[in-house]
Amino acid sequence: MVLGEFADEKRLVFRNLDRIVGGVLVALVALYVASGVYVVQANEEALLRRFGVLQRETVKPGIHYRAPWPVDRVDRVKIKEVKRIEVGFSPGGVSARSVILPYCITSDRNIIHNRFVIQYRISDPAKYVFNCVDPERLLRGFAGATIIKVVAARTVDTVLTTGKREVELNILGELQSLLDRQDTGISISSVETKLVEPPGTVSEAFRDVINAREERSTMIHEANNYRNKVIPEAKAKVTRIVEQAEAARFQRASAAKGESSRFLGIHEKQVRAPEVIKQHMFLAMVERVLPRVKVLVLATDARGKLIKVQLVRGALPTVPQLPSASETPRRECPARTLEPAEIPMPFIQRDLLSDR
Amino acid sequence: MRRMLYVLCGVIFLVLVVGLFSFTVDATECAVVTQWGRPVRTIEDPGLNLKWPSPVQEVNRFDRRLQLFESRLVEFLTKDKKNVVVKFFVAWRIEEPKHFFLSVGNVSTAEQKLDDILISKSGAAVGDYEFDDLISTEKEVRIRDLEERIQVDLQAQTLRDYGIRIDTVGISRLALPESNAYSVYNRMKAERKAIANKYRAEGEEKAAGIRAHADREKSDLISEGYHKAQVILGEGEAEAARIYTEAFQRDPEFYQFWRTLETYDKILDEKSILVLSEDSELFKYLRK
Repeated sequence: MVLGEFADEKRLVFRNLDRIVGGVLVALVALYVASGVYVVQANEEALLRRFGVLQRETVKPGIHYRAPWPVDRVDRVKIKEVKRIEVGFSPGGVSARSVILPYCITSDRNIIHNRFVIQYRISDPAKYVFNCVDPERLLRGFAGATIIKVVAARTVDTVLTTGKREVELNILGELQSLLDRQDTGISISSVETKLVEPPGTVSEAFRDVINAREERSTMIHEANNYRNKVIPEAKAKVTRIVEQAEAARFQRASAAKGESSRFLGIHEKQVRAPEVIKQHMFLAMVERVLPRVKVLVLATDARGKLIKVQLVRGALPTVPQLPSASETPRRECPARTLEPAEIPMPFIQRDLLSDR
Repeated sequence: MRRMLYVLCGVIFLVLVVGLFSFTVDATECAVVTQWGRPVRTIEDPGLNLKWPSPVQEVNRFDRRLQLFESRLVEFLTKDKKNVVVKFFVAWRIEEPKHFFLSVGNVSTAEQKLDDILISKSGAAVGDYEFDDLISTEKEVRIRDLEERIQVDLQAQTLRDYGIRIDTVGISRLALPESNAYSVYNRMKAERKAIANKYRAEGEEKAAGIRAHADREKSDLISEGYHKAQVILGEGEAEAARIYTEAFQRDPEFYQFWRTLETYDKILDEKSILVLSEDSELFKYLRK
């Protein structure tokens, strides 16, 4: 009874085993066939090889089918991706352990360190995959050699300052032609200087040159400032001088005009009664003048001999050697008669006293 | 159901047999088939190929793509007896697989051999160039020349002996021996100092020039200004003289009289002492 049940079950399993195995096999075959489906992403292109022979060089993005392994092989290449490597000769670089620090020699035999960032992309997937074992390593080697060559043809000042862009462009050009000659399928998009500097031991001297250049321009700048200050000042001074002169000219001319018109006015009157006017003018002048001057009147006799001196108005200045003079009371007016001896010598000419 | 199983087994068996009797050569490869260790066939084109199963015939595959090899840093002597330290890279590939298989066998041995030949060839080549040929401001740099020459020399030997083609030889490092580097540093310092001094001297010179020029311009301007002023003053004088002359010419005698009176008025001030005779015009009436 028990045995019979067991046999029944066994028969059941055996009957189903066919189906199970069959199902598994069919599933495996289906899976195997399905493994030929592959997807090429938007930024990729694929290469299809059948038994190692290149079948299709460019499989565009999308879903595709190939014969499963080992017949077909697909290599996807990211053609739109821009890759980036750093190449150069600086102590902080990859080969820091080597005995001689990496550096470049410029044409004027200066030692400099530099590093460049090189950006590239795969322009020809077939060449990229089939031509080089390790394209990136090749690119590094080529880039290093190109940098050495480009730097060796330029002076240190060009490399460090003025010619940076030119150096970059030259490296790009030469490196690209080298890569093309070897059919690497790599296209360089840019070469940029990441670092370019003199070695540490001489960097102080290089900085000093930069300072000196700054100082030079500062000095010139200051001198120009001085010039810009001095010239306008001088111009202002010139304007002032000229304006003053103009004013003086005007003043002079105006004075002349005034004086001449005054003269003409008087002359007009004088024409009618010349003598009277003349007399009048003379006395008017005397009136104006006499109040402010000291007047001595000399009286002479008929033979012309001096008989007295009369101070009409004003005071004589103090003359110490004449005591009498100091006694003399100083009065404005009226007139007082002085003896000739009292008159201080400086005021009377000798010849004036003696003759006449 | 059972039949299907048999068919499947048959297919698997067939695949195994085909797998044993065939091999593929990839587009990146070339292969040498050996029978009991002796090369019998060289396959350079990719594709599916037939062979006897393993112990009888073996397949030796070689990567036929471009490979990069870098030498050590080696010190060389240039034609003008200067020391340079150079490191080369070589881009090479297997040109004749059978030859390569027999003489070298694998990549690392190949690189060893390349290193030896490269150093002897490049030593000879560098010895034919002067230091100025490699690094110079005046002359055209002939590094490419040197590289091409080494490439030709190297390939002549490697192609003949090992079936290796040399695509490119390049300098991947160019340096001076450590002892020379110190003198270079010192020279660089001296050069920089000279340049800095030149800049400073230039600055002083130019600044002094600008200042002197400015001073001179200033003095010119002021002199010119004075000149102009004098001319203007002269014009003023001339104009005044003209006006006077015009007026006074009408009656010179009266002018003289009038002018004399004016002059008296001006010259006689508080300090003046006028000495007059009783007979004078003014005082004649004082006399009785």
